[in-house]
Amino acid sequence: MSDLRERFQELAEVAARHGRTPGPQAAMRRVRRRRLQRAAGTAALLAVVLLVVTVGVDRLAGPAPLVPTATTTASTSPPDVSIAPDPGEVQRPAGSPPGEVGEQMVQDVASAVTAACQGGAPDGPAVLVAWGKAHGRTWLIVAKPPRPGENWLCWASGLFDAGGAGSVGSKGKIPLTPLQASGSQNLRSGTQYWGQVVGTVTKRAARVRVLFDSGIPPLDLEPIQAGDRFPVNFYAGFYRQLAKDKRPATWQVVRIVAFNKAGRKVAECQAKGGPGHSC
Amino acid sequence: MARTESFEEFYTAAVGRLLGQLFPVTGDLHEAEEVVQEAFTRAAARWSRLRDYDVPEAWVRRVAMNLAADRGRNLRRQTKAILKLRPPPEVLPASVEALALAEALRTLPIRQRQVLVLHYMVDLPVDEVARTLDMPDGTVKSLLSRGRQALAAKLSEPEEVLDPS
Repeated sequence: MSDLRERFQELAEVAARHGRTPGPQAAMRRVRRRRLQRAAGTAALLAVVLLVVTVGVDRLAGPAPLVPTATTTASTSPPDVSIAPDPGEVQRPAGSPPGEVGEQMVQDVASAVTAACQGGAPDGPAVLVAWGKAHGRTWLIVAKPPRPGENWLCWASGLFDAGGAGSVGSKGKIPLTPLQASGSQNLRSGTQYWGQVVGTVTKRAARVRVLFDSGIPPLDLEPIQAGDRFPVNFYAGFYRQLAKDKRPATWQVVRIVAFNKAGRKVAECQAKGGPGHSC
Repeated sequence: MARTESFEEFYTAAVGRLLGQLFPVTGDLHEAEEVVQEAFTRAAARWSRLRDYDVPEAWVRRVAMNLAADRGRNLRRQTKAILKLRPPPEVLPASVEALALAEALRTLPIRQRQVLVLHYMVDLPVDEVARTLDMPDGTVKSLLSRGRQALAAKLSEPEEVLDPS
């Protein structure tokens, strides 16, 4: 095997002599460019939020229904979802968003996850858990499988238009809880406006019900099965906003409830208003 | 351990070594350059933390190895047809034996290439290779064994000779 080592060393030396890289300055320029892109995306998202006065009105009276019902016709169905077919090996499902634009979307969200995971599992792969298309946009969920014993999860969601412009909502290093959500609103599609809700949910949940204010019907979502590598599943959905231009637009999500297969409540969270909507 | 090394100094000191280690994995010098540069870019983004690592180069190597595997899979899946139209990889001015090794490595699965390079070129013990590639020790041993056998078979194939008659 010493001959093998010698051949390897020779190959390495030749490659090192003849390889050409753009240098450290180019790497740092690339970092700055990515940070600018990310900042621009965040700024765009915040601009949407700050355009309006935030007034939270919880009009939902009474306890949450204990039995999930089908999504009403006034709400949109959850978009089609592609899930990694073999989470043990692939980092991107075969049906990743196509083309260079799709590749860039995945990169942008994955970069946000990687950046948020410093000090955790720094060099583990970010996994494209799911993606879909709805209302002229592509959404993605990217997460890093936690290591054994870690009680937190790094994940991020992205929302892009057909040209690849959009935003990345980095959730960073989030303590694992049974139910979390965040989202955005005022996503214009034609003459209508939509809001998005995306989050993580305990694997015990078979259905996630999103409750809104102002008469928007509840939205029932089926969890996206994230596989054994993740301690939680994910969910994502869009809801149609009512008379957006006349109402003081806030994130209309008020409460989210997760039910198990038997229809029993297994988790619940109350929405927090303001920028960086969350639950 | 606090270090005073700047990112530029770290890059300059490590880039050649990493290129040398990634070339046998990717089988293509240009591809190796790209994954190494991307790995350094990610390192630059978190240098304030990485510089305190005992061996930040190991972090960059691991990222580059992951990128190489990822790109290898994507390339195979998405651009198989295009790949056939690409010019052959650049031939480096190395000995016949080293070039034969490079050629033989190209025929192996990328995971085998990675463990062979990390073990025989970087001189990492099996458990360190396992940590770098995030796989069990047993898998590394198995990949090493199969890789060695495949290389031995490839490298011992008789050369074609012209019939002197």
